[in-house]
Amino acid sequence: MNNVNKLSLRVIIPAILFAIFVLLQGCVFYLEYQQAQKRLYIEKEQYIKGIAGNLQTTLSNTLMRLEKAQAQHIVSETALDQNFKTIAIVDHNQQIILSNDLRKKYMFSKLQLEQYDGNLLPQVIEKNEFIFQYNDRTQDLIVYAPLQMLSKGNSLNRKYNGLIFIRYSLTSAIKSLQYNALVSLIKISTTLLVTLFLLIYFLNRIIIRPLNQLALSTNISDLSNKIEVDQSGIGEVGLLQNSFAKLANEVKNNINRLSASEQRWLYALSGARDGVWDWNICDDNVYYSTRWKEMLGYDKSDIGTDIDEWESRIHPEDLFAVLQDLRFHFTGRNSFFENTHRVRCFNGEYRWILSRGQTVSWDADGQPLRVIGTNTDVSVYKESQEKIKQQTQFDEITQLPNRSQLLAHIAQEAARAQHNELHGAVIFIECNQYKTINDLQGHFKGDELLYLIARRLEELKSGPDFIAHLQGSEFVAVLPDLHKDSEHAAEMALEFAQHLDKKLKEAFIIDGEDVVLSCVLGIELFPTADADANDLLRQSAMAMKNAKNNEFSNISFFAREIEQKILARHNLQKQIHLGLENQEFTLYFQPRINAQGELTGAEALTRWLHGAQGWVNPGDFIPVAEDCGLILPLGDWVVKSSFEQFAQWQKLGLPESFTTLSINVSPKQLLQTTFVRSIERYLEETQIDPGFIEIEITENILVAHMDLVINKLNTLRELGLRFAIDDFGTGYSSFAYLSVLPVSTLKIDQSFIVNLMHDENQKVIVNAIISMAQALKLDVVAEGIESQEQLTFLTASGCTQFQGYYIGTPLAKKDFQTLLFKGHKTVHSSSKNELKKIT
Amino acid sequence: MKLFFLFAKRLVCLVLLVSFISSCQPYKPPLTVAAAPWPNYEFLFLAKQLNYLNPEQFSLFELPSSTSVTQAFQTGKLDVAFLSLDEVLTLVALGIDLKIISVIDQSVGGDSLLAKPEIKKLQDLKWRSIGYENKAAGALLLDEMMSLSGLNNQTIQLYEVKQNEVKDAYMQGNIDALIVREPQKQQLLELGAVELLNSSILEQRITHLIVTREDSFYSKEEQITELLKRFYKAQEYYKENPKDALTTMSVRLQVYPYLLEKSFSGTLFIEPRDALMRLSGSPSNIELQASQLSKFMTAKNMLGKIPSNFNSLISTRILERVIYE
Repeated sequence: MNNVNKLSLRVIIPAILFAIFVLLQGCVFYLEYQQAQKRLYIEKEQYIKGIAGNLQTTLSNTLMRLEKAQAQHIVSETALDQNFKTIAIVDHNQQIILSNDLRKKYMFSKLQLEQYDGNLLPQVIEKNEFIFQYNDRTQDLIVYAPLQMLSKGNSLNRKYNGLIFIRYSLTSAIKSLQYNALVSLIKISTTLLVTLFLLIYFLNRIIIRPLNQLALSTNISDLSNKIEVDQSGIGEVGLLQNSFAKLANEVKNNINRLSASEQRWLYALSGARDGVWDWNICDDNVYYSTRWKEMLGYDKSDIGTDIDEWESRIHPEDLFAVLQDLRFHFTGRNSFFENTHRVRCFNGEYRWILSRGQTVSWDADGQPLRVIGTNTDVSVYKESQEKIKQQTQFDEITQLPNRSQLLAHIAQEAARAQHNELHGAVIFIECNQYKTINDLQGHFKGDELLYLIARRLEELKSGPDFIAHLQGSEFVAVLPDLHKDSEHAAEMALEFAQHLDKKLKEAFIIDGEDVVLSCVLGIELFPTADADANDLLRQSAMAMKNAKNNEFSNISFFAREIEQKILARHNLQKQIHLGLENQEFTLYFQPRINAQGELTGAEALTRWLHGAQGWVNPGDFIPVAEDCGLILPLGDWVVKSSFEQFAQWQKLGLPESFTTLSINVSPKQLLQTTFVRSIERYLEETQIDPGFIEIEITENILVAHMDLVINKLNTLRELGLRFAIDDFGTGYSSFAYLSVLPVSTLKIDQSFIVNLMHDENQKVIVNAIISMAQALKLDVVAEGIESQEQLTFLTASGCTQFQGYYIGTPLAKKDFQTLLFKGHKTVHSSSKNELKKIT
Repeated sequence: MKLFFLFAKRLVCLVLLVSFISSCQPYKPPLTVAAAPWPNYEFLFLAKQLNYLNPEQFSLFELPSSTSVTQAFQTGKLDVAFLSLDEVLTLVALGIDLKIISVIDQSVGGDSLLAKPEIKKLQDLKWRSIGYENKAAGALLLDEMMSLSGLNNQTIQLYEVKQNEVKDAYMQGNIDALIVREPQKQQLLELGAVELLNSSILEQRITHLIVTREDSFYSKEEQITELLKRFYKAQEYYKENPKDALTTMSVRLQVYPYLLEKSFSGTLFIEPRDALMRLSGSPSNIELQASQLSKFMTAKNMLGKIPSNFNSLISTRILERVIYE
């Protein structure tokens, strides 16, 4: 069937026409030939019958006249036609009387004449019958015609009767007929063939060739270009060409639009660096784009298309989620399939792949047949996401959960505890030495220390416990489900805290050095009413702060009072700030005398007259200012104001005995880089003699920042300033620095003086200090002298200068100025007398 | 597809070729030949009897007299005829286009003036009736007889008696003398007739020829050539097997073989090569004879119009082919 379809019309149409022509012409020819043959037969029959009749007459006449020669002549003449095979006259004895073949004359007819039937003779003669026969085989017409040969004049011959035998061959006539028929057939055939050839030619020219060209022009691989269609066809062919050209043009435009759109998608896909997969669910085969294979490190061919292989590549942990998402998509729960999972690469590594897809065809039952989707390599995002997650929830240094996670955990535990009616605890831990180590030995060591602390904490925690790191050396432990009873829970928390404290006190080894830490711990129990996670954490921190301030224990529970205290402190910070702005601070000067009772100096003290609260105790606001850094502007203000005041006094003319204006400088202030410069500036501004200025520093600062402080002090010393060690003997005292520091004065802390008269030890210590100062040629100032006994004892011990309420309370500048310039009214007269006695 | 086209083209070519060939060979009617009884003409019928001639190709008509042959030739029923020169001239004068293709023989006594036994000499013919066929042979013999006997048209009665009628005429006894030719001459001599004069003494030879219609000459040359070949082959046969040949030939002529043998003695058969010589040359022997005879015949009012150019009547081509092929 296909072969017939492929046959050209130029064959089929002529073949059909040819077949029809041949069939029709064959029929016509056959019928005509049959008719012609019949006509020929009839014609010849009549002709022969005519001849026979003629011969009957003429021969009868001549033979009856006995003109035999004439009769022979007639026969011979008649036979002048090659179709007359035989003309013979036979008598009743079957003897041939006359013949066109002279040789047969007088012969026995039955023997000599071909196809002659002698038995017919009597019938012909007696019945005077004319017999006409046709021999179909030999195609001969045979005639037996009776002949009267009786001569009337001769009685002897009277009964002579015979017949005329004629054998006439139709062979030549039939052959001729056949020949003519053949010729006409050839003529018709030739005409037919010529017509057919012309038909084929014109068919080819007008229809086939244009159609072929049209077919050829359809056979274009690149449809995006303009298609040239020959439109020279005639009639319907032209119409076809025309409409094809239109169609082709439209198709071209559509294809161009389509390919542009496809191109966009391709560019988008390739730009997105996404792989494409196409899953044919029927045969469970998956097509992968080159990019997808490339993502997984496969070559173009060595990836199997079986869906099972795809499954086997998915990380076992992710497989369930992937299949579930697929199921959700197939069941219509999700209109898209989307899942991020790990896929094994060619080299065995796993990559994070974001796979998205959608079912594009369904069978009649609504079962998915084909799913197409993309794969995006999200490994980098996933990793960074993980990292961010880690960072947001974990501390980088300690690898412990950070604040946000801690808060979440506390919230969770608090809620759970409330539900379970159990009590838990939040323990806030801070290590004191961390900051120092961090500052002195660098962040690296600090970090290492934190890491070690974290590990140690982790070692100590039990199952449900939770350890987090906040900042600096702040750690928090959350102990859930301690006990039903809050008191019991508090006990357990305390035990744990003590255990922690103990363990943390054990030395840490960093770079071969032992580092010993001391910790403060704040405990807060939960759940508490109206407190969220943030509150709990804050409260534990407050507890810790409280512990810090506690001399007796480094572990403290949070109490409402602590909170209030801290709140007050916080409030105070704000007030200090405001006070500075509003110039509520003023300088008071506490007199210092020598053994002779002369006013040798004064210590500048800060006093704060709060607008609302009145006088504020320096013991309350100074530590707060120290904590919050407000000590810096405050200290600066103190230095500046002192210098200015002293400058005024200098102008007024100081008494000879007055040699020292002592100013307290906080460690933070001293450590400030701009401190030396600001001192220089103020000296320059006020033009005071730096030799009068004595800066008081505490021992603690010397411990922490020895080198830095020594340098600074030396610089200031070069300016002419003097230094005193304040509160000497209370801190981490080292005699070593006394030799190094450019210190001129030691101020014995008032704690030694308070119980001096009752405590022998104190006397020994004070004597020792004085002796040592004398040995080192340092001035010794005893502070906090409140009685004559004290003064007497100290004078006797060799102390040179004295300060205290007994000597003189701190005075406002106006009062001090009065004292300074108008005598020694303020100095206790009794004490003066006492001094005189001693000396 | 290409194969199909190739096949179709070949088929069409084959059909065309076959039809062309068949159209080139239409049904060819047989060559029609006729001859009156005359000894040397009998080789034609001998050839037929010897099956030298395929009846499909050659149709021989046995006509009783040369007049019949002339008439048949004239009416176009014959392609080839065996005729004497005078008959040929008569046909030419009638405007029949023909070609003389061979010379068969000369009558050297084959034509005779025979008379009843009681007439012993030519002079006895005075006031007698003489039968003759109006042909040159008869005219020549009559002319010779007149010149020898001094008789003329007034002193003798002339009747037209055709060759096949002579026997009946003689036997009926109404005619005193007859100009006859072989083989009837022998039959009459058997019946007691006396020969007064024969063609051997005639100055003008009576020559017998084979002629063909001009159109047949061109269209049926092969057949005619074949016919002549068979004719001469039969003559050869006669020479080699005279008895057998004479027996065969005598049946047709209804004469005894010995009489037929006698008949041959009155003729001079001209062999093909000789015939070719007589036909060749310019003017050829036959041309000269024709010219002479035509003058005589014109003089005797036997010819209406003298043919101007005898040369164009003669063609040696077939004879050459017969001899040399």
